Amino acid sequence: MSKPTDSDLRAAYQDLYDHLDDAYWAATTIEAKDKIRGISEVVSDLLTDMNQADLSLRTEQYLSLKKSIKGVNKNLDKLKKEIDDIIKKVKLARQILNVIDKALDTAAKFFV
Amino acid sequence: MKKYLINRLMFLVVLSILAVGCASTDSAKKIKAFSDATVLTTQNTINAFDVVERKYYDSQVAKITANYDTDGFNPNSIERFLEPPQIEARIQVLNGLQKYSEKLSVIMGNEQLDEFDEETRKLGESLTKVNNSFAKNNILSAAPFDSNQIQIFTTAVNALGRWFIEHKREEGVKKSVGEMQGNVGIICELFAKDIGTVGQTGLREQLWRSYSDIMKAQDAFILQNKDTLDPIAKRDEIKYLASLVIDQKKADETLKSVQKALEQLKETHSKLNEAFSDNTIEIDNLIKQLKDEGRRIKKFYESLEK
Repeated sequence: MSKPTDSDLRAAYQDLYDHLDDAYWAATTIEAKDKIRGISEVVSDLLTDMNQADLSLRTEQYLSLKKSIKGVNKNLDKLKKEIDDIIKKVKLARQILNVIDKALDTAAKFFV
Repeated sequence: MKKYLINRLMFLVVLSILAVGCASTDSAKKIKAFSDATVLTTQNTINAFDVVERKYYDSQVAKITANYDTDGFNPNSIERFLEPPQIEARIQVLNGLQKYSEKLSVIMGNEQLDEFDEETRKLGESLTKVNNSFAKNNILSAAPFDSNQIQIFTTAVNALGRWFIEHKREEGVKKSVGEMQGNVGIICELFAKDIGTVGQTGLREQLWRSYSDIMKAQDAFILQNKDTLDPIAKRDEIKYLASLVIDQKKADETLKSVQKALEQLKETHSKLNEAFSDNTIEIDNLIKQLKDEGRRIKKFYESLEK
């Protein structure tokens, strides 16, 4: 017989929890209900531990994804900056024209 | 003849601006809609973790209340379901995805193009001013260019610049979408796994069990105090117990819908570059579905808060 896997163990505990849940609602005395609830709480805590462990396994993958997304977002920032630079060039041309206009005005006053 | 050629040229320039403008506005709208739907989906996914965490806390409080007479209270018995570094890693990925979609929308949006239009308009004004200055200041007997030529020049600068910006951003956005294809697929699959299935693993299992634990603890509380509770208080406690049955199903449906939305997000993103094509029926439908699902889930969360 092969050794049970983590998922077999989890399934067995889950099955036990579900049966205890049914048993709790079927029980007719407070004493019986209290006993079943006590065991059910222990099994529930075990299932929570297993769930936490399962979710923790994926945390590392999220951390490496974070880096990858950061790279793509940086490229998008770069693209936005490149477009901004095109606008800046037109702005610069306008500023140069304004300086030329001012120089023409000053020169005209000087030579008059 | 010269005037005729100038008019023809003006007509072509204006036509090209209009053509570029229409195509851009259309794909920009789709990217913006995709971005809005993505923000909604990522927010709903973050809320899923929050709901599970809060319900896990409620289940611990319900157990403490039901067992207080025998076990008393121990502050160490209150624990988080997920430790901050685990939840933080997930939130950062979802925030990164959200930022990515928002950046796409900003780049495809009209803000930069409007700024460019404004700058070229001002450039035209400055050119006219300098042109007139030559004559005004007696440097030349007449302005070197007539106003029509300046208008043609600035319109051409605007049209070429717009075309260049349009081309650059479309290529850039398409490239980034391509680069993110694998990431978005993995993100959606991982979160769908995190949400899991009732009776197996994941958030849905945890949430379902938290409700089951709360129901048993609440029932035990009522049984322990049935002789001391006044009729109104007793009725309220029983009413709360009954409402948990409905809430459990509603909360699970919500998480199930988040899972579905994540699948839709993956599919929509895989076809996002169709937003730049002529045939956008499929991508339009996918974005609409994603947005509708996101809104529906948001409403679910709001009803759970009540």
